[in-house]
Amino acid sequence: MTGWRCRRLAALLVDRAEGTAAAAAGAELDQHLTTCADCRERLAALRELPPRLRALAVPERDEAFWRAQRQSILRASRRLAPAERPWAWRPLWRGVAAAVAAAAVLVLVRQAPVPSGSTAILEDADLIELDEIWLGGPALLASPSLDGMEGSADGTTELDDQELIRLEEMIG
Amino acid sequence: MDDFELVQGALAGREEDFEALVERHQRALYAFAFRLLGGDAAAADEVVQAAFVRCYAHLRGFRREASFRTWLFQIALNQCRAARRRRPEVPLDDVPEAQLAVEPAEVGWHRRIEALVGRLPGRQRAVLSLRLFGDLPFRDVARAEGISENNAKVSYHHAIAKLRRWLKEGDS
Repeated sequence: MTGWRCRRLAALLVDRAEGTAAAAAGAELDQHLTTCADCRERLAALRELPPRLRALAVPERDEAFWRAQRQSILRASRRLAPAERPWAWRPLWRGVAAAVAAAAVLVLVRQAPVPSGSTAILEDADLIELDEIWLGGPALLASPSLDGMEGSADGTTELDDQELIRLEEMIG
Repeated sequence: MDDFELVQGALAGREEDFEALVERHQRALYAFAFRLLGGDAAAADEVVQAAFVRCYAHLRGFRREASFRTWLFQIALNQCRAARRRRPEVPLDDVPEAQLAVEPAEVGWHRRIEALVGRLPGRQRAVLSLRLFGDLPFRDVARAEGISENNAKVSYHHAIAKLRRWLKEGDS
């Protein structure tokens, strides 16, 4: 991207490639394209590459694979049984207490010196898992654009029973 | 029945409704995870299962502001990120250009693209994957990434431009 105008028109170029550009903005883009070879090339790539990328082969799976996957998901889901649980009434302190405990463990483990030759209390995988419990993964839900989706998969204080059990196991 | 009705059924304890949701979306979710994880079939399977179980556990948090599909893909995206954190890869930007151009000639177009997509910076890879492999509109891609729709388009634009450049370098 060579100039400020190229940067300003970047999103519009995507709209143009997808055939959704507003007519009002089209004139400026058309004029720019007559003078900017780089943007013309980018537009061509935006039109040409996506269909080829969409065509990337995913391995063929037979029905047995999908059925087995469904069964595995259902087995794991039965152990959670959300329909039976009063999620809305779960006492807040459980989530808060678990989150505080997770944070404390993270701080202690990451600050504590590990004697050479010894094994750390928690393996990297455990730390990642704790991070996931504590942070709920990347801070997607911190975004106001996700209003109305609170309590979704990455809620930061909503810990389910399995997560609490895993947390307790890790904390020992 | 549409997705929302199936969600209501699952919440009312009808497992067959949840199974119908899984059956409806598992293939698309698998393809999405497979491509996002650079063609790792085993990891994609794990991500799909984890995403559905997590989705089930938080089903009460689902609101109709976004489609179930968008919500599900958000969860899967987080699971993919967690999977990638456990198996970090060097972003292509950190790899010397000369090294990129030495893509083995026998590696086919698909393998090559998969590898390149897998090495895009995280945000660009996520936006590109949600748009192309998840087939989500930019509005939902932006929602999933917690950014504006304009930024989602700009990230997508950069991702396509990078792929085009890397492919060109590989060909020269």
